[in-house]
Amino acid sequence: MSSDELQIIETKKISNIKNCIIGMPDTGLTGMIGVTHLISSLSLDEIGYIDSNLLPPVIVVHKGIPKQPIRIFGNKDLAAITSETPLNMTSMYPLTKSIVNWVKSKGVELLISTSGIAVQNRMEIKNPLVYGVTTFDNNKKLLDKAEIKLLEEGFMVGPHALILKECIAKKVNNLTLLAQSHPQYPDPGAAAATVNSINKLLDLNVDVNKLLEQAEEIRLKTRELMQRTAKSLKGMEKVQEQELPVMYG
Amino acid sequence: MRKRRLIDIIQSSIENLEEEIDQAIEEVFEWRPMWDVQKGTLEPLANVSEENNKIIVSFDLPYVTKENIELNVSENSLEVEAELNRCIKYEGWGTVQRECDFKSFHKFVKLPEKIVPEKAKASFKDGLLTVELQKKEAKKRLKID
Repeated sequence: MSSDELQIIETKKISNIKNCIIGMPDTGLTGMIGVTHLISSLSLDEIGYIDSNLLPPVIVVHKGIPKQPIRIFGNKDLAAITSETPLNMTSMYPLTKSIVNWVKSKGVELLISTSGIAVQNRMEIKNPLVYGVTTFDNNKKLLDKAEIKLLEEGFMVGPHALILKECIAKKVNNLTLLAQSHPQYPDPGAAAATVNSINKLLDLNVDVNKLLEQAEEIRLKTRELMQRTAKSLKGMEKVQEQELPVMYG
Repeated sequence: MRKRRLIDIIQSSIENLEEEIDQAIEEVFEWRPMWDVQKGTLEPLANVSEENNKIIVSFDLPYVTKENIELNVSENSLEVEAELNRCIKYEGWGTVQRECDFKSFHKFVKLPEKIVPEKAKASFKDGLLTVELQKKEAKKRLKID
């Protein structure tokens, strides 16, 4: 799957994939932490990566092996896409378009985007709530089943908002999950809430205890990524998510 | 008409170039690592916000207990030193091809306004340190005639 600006390279070909989950660096790194935990808990193999000259000139090295920062993991039942570097504005539009096209080409039945929604009183919340927004009305029953609250009014800003936009245009079944998160700090607790919701949505049984046990380590080791992400979000008018919607009547 | 388009293209290219140069300058001059190998310290994530007559500074301090936090406050700065309850090692990390030990967090924050150090309050919950500082020049309530 490729365009002039961006290529999705499949290192392992899978013709059809049932479900797909995306978690990019965003508020509280919630989506990224949750998806990374799913990938490791389900031992999902790396099946591809995204390459583009619009992305920052970054390569990550793991155990001596150079890797692209945006990678795809999975099997025929579930694919998971995440990034180890924040997305910039230049790459975000072609990237989200290419991802949605790829998802469509794989016949994905449900694309779940995960992210955090900043709440100022996060410290007082023991169990973060997860809100959902969906492109199809009949998913609302699915939200009820998974005890996910429907986001009735508000703004969404960031990669998940563009994915949702693209899914509306391409008629792709998308469910965006937003967990109450720390606005400025990595939030493994919010990520765990998202994973619990995904468990209920997809009938998975991913244990979040390990994620919660590693919370301090995750917070410590994702400081730089959180700082870079916060900087990139500033340029996206992310604060709009905190604004009250314009309502009359 | 054709000339104008060419001018627009040149202008837009110059703008893009300027933006890239600004970003590069910012990267070079503003970026610094969030760790100091020599001192064995890590820089915590911190946030400064203002609320009426207060300045609120928060720090994310995982692996830290309340007893191991030292806070120093002056009229225009706040400094936090917090001992980690375990040593953080990064083996074979980056170009530092050896074990790298970090034992504490350290952060110096320059405050946006002068404050009254004696009125500073601090709380610590779930690894998050919040310091509430009273601004020196409090806002005066204005009566509308």
